[in-house]
This record gives sequence, C-alpha cells and structure tokens, in this order.
Amino acid sequence: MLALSIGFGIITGGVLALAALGLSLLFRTVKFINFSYGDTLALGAYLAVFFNTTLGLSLLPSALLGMLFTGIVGVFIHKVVVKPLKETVKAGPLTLLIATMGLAFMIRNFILIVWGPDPKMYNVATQEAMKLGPFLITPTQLMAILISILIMVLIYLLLQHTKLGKMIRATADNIDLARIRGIRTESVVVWTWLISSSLAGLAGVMLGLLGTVDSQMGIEVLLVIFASVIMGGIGNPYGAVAGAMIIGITMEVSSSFALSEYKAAIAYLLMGVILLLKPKGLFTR
Amino acid sequence: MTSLLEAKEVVKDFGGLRAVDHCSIAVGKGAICGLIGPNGAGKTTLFNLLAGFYKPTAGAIFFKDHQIDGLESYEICLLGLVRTFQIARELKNMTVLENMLLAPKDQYGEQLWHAIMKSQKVRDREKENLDQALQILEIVGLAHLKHELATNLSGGQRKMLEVARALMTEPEMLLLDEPTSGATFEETRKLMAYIEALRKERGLTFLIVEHKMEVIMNLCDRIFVMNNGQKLAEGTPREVQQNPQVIEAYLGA
Amino acid sequence: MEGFISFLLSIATIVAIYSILTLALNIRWGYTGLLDFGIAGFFAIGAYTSAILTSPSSEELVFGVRHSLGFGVPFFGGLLAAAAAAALVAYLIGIPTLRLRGDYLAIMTIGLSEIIRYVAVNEKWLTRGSQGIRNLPRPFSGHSNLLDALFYFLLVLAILLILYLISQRVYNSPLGRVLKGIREDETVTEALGKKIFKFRMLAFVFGAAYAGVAGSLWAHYSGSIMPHEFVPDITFLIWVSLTIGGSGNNKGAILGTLVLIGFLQQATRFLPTIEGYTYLVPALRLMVIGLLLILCLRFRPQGLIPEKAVRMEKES
Repeated sequence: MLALSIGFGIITGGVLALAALGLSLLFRTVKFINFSYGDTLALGAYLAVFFNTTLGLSLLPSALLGMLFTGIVGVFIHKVVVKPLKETVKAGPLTLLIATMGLAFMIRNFILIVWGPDPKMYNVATQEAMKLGPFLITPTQLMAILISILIMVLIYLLLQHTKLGKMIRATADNIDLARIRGIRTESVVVWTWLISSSLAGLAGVMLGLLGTVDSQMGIEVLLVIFASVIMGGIGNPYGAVAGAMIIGITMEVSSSFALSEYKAAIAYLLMGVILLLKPKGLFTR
Repeated sequence: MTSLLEAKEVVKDFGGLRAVDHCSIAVGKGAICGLIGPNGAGKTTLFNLLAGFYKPTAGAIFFKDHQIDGLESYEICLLGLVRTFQIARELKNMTVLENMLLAPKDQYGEQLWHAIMKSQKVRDREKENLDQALQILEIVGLAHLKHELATNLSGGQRKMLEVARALMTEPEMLLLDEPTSGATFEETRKLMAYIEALRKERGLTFLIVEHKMEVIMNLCDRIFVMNNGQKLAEGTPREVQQNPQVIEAYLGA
Repeated sequence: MEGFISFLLSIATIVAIYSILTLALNIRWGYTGLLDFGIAGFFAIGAYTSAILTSPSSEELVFGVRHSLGFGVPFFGGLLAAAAAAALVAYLIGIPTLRLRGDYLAIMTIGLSEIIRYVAVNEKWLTRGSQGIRNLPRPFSGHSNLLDALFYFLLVLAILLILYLISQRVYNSPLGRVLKGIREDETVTEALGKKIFKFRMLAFVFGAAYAGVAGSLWAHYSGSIMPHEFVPDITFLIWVSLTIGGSGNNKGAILGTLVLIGFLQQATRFLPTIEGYTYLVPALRLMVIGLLLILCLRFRPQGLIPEKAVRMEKES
C-alpha cells in the first residue's frame, strides 16, 4: 500500500516537477511570480482536449500542439501585459503579481465560457496497470513520467550547453550586465516565456491524463507548484524539481493515511514549514 | 573617557571575500570623525556594520558601552545611534513634513488605541513634534517645501531631508553616509555649518563617510582611512594628509 | 415597486458589507503594503464564528457526523466574537508568516484561505460541512420583509460608517504614518527606530478584525453560509475594487466597491440566462473584471480617487 502511494507520488511529482521547472525558470529571469501560471497550465490541458476530442487528433500531436499554443500564450502575456506595465507605469514585482492574478481569472473564466464546467477527458483507451517492481503503473503514467524526465534533461542540456541557454543564464543573473555585453535581453525574455509556458502546457496535458481536466485545476495545482518551487529555493530550477518530487510523494503518502481530503493542504503546510525554517529553500545555490 | 562608539577587530566576510579585515575604530563623545578611503576600501561595509545592517563575522561593536553588533537596526536607533543613507531614501509618496514626523521615538499615537482615540496626549506630542520639525526644516532650508512630496525634491534637498529626519530621532550620534553628494556648494556649506553647530550646542557626535576632501579636512577632528578592508591610518586631518601610506593608497589605487 | 426597493436594498447591503472587506484590505495593502490574498479566509472565519455561536442549539446528524453546536448567542455577541476570532487567527498565522517577503506572503495567505475552506468542508462536527449552516437569525426582524431589509441595511451602513471613521483616524495618525513608511521603504522606517514586525502584525490583525465583522454581517444577511462561498474569487473582487477605487484611501475603497460590486456584479443580473448555460454570465463577468484590473493597473494605477498626502492640522 505504501509502495503504491510512493509510486503514484513519484508520477505526480514528476509532472509537478515539469511545471515547477517552468515557473522557476521564468522567475529567475523576470524576477516576479507569475500568478497566471496555473491557469496557463490548465489552458494547455484544455487545448489538448480540443485537438484530441474535437479535432480527432491522436494524443501525442494533441499534446504537442497544446504545448505549442500555450507557449505562444506565454509570449502574448509578456508582450501585451507585462512589458507595457513595466515600461509605462514602471510596475514592480508586486504590481506584476497582481496583474497576473487578473490574468489568471481571465484565463480560468475563458476556459469556463468555451468549454463549460463539466470535467473533460482525453480519448484514450482504458488501460490496465502493469506491475513494475513494487509499483503499479499504467502505460500512460509510465509514458508521462518518462516524457517528464526527457524534457527535464533536454532543458538541462539547453541551459548548460547551448548559446541560448547561456544567454538565458546570463540574463537571469544580471539583466543589465547581460545587455551591456550585447545580449538581446528582450529576445531572451521572450524565449524564456515561451519555454516556461510550454512546460506549463505540457504539464497540464499530463496532469489531465493522470486525472481529469476541469476548470479549477489551474488554481488548485498552482499552490502546489508554488510549494515545490519555494521548497527548492525560488530561482533554483533543479531545486524546484527536487521540491516537486518531495511534495508529490508526501502528498500521496499522507493521503493514504486517511488524510485524503487535506491532500493539498498538506502541501501548503509543508510549504509553510519550509518558509519558516529555511526561507531560501532546501537547495539554495 | 570611554568612546561613545567603538568597533573592536571587526571582520566581515561575504562568501570568500573579506570586505572588512580586523578594523578597530573609536569615536569619542562630541567628536566629528571622518571615514575615508578609495573605492572598494570597505568604508560602506564598515558603516553598515556600525549601523546594524550587517552582522560582523568576527569582532564586536559597542555603543555607550552596550554591545550592539547583533542588534536590529531599530534597536540601535532607539539606543541613540542613527544613520543616513548614501543614496537618499526619502519616503517618496509622503510629504517632507510627514517624513520628519515619522521619526520621533515614543509616539503614543503609534499605538492603535491611542491612534483611534486621538487623546490629548497624542495631540500634544504631535504639536511638539511639529514644532521641532519646523524648526529643523527652517535651519536646513526646507521649510518652504514642507507640504511637498519628498519625491519632488532635488538631490541635494533630499540628502538634507535625510539628515533633518535623522535628527528627529533625538540621537546622540549620527552616522552620515556621504551627506553632501549631490548637494550644491551652498548646500554643502550650510550642512557643514549645521553639523558644527549641532556638536557645539547639543553635544552630538558624528561619523561621516565622505569623498569630498574639503568637507572632511575642514570639518573633522579625526579621520580614519581605510584601504582593502583594513584601517590604514588614523589621525588629525593634517596627520592624515601627510601620511605617505595614505597618499600612496589614493594615488596608487 | 416594493420588489424594486427590495432589490436595491439588497444590492446596497451587499455593497456595504463588501466595502468593509475592502477597507480591511486597504489597511493591509493600501496603508502597509502587505500583499494579502487571504481576505476570503478571514471573511469565512468571521461568518462561521458568528454562525456557530448564534445558531439555535440543535443536535443532528450531518453526513454521518454528529453536529451539536449552536449556542443561541445574540447577534452582537456573534459579531464581536467574529471579529475576535478572525483577529486571533491572524495573530497566530502572523507570527511565522509576517517576516516573509512580499510575494511569499501572497502565496502563504492564499494557502491559508484555502486551508480554512478545507476545514470548513471537512470538519463537519464544527461547520456542518458542505451543507453549511442555515437559519441564521437577523436582529430587529419580525416585521415586513421590506422593513426587515431596511433595518438590516441601516445596521450594516452604521457599522460601515464607524469602521470607516476608525480607519480614517488611523490613517491620519502617527500610526498611519508608520504603516505608510513601511509601505514606502521598510528599511528606512526600521532605521528610524520602528519595529517593523510589530506594525505589520498590527495591520494584519486589525484588517482581520474588519474582515471578521464583514463575515458576521454577511452570514446574517444571507441567512445561511456554505464553504464553497468563501473562495479566492472574493479576495479577487476585493482586490479589483480597491485597485479601481484607489488603493491607500478609504473613500476610494468604498467607491471602488460600489462601482465593481454594485454595478458589475448586480446589474448584470438583468442579463438573460440561457437555459443550461447558467455559468456563462458569471464567467463572463469575472473575465471582464480581470481585464478591468489589468487595464486599471496600466492606465490609472492610482485609481479613481488617488491617495492624497496627509495635511497636517494646526500648521503654522
């Protein structure tokens, strides 16, 4: 029983890690918390549902298209909301946080208007769980976690070994210095939004595959993502991944001990404890 | 006579970098002392250590024989040691007068009940503070701007406000961080005269970080020179000016 | 005619109650700069405290759990207790969280408000779970429906007025100055001898008390409360109200609430509801409100009534 919970925790954690990675990457570069991240994630899930059930595409292209469109939405958010606010009214991180909260409500209710309040599901055949060591896992879940790991590795390689990655890291460390050194920081920021939001979209699709797709999933998962990011140390993307795994496993394990209604509350409490004891996170660089 | 402010063998490390390296300085009551040194010498770090903004890695700091390293900045202010900031930090969306009235200690009106009730005690204290504020503003030449938003002041005016505001806390000693940067010649002269007057009439003590040599040499009784995190020399302005190590530090830097 | 007056009274009462919430947020964010996304939580605590205390005693089984709370406390007792309970919770939560930087506080306060909602749903012995608490009494009732509504509105209005005057007093006082100083530049305010944590806590707790009062007033206006009412949407509406009205000043807070809640929320009640799509209009409303927030931040960040610098009395 415990093993099952841990297993499911790893899967959940893996998907959360993808989302946490995206948020953390974004924060490192733009230095404010994007409150619309959760609903962007939900949008990704819904878009994939659209491609999958309405347009009849199979799962993989639907997911990819969902991811792509979500990425574009991210860029849109930057160009249309964040950048003008920063430039015209010199909005600081707190104001931008509030603005993205407004965006979150816009996206969430847009989803409601277009797709309605009933939960949606993807067109996948019901599957049988296989036994993998002490864990029970369906092929979809296995695929989810493998893709998560793959993407995370790709992101790592991107950041460490490509020119774009180096530029992203330089901009994140010191945007003024980066600009002086000739890096086109605006492009870097746009790329970061694209990557971050795409990760959100993909995470949304996977979360939807593991559970259901409903209009409240954005806000519900957002707080858990925050917990992961804070646990890992805000601004530390790999820490966020680790934080997500810890939170995912803790949530599932604690819910198996008959606290299942408070599952998300456990994540908040854990986050609260970390903020109290080690506000810089467990894995500060 | 024990010094009013004393730093004993203070060390401050930032990661692998040692910004302040076993510095010891002592400022006597009623003195006007200067802290100078080339850029990167560690003056600002030492200053921030004295004001309680950093905790020393090693060593101790005493004010009026109280050990103050490790105290919060508000506690240090309440003991009678107040600081100003290098880049003036005026409270932008508050008026000059509001900036001034924020500072006095022990205001009854800061307690919720008294604030709501607005008792006579509160009103009397407000009047006292108002009078004192207007007096100081008059001397520093800002009285005509009392209802102006602090953000609308010129650079020099904002630095004057910094000093004026600090005085409202009724300190025994002031740590001034480049008080004349951005000030006009006239404003600088006025400030120097004011500092002298404060020392003479109220026995206030000063430690000033400055780059303008005319200010330091003409105002200070005693000067501490820092270089590479260490105290390079100390003495009267004349002694320091003629110190070969000091000359080399400034020219060689 | 009576129907129309009744309708107006109900909008007015709701606006007045929500205005108290906006005043609460104004104390925390407008004065002190605390990024608080948890107002809905304290609203809930106030509502439930008052509801639990003022319900007539009863004994029943709810979802298989025995619920036997209900103390029949009179209305004003419930009101005061609501304020006290909210203040107490704020104090306890504040001790660990108010040391956090701005954006973290935002996250923690949402988390808190959601935890409170979970407790309301799950602790059925206390709150009757998602069935909620019903049959809440109103003071001065027992006359015609119209008169009852009028009395209650006047009561709420009186309380709003008192709280407004208190807020104004605080704003113009030395305390208000310190809070503003913290909002403008915490480092300087601390360097001038003010213990920041104490003042942040004060603003947090004081705001909580206001929210608690609003919660109690809401519970008795509504007659019944359920956990799913106290969602972050409320916090969001209050934020938009304050931003539109003018953060930092209380007149703006009330005006913003009137504009937002009064017009947008209630006026659109007249829009037709399409059969089977009852979620459409509320969702559209919220979308528009979200857009309004962003537009306001972009084009008129100071709000409808900008904060005016405090004029000193008895100036020479």
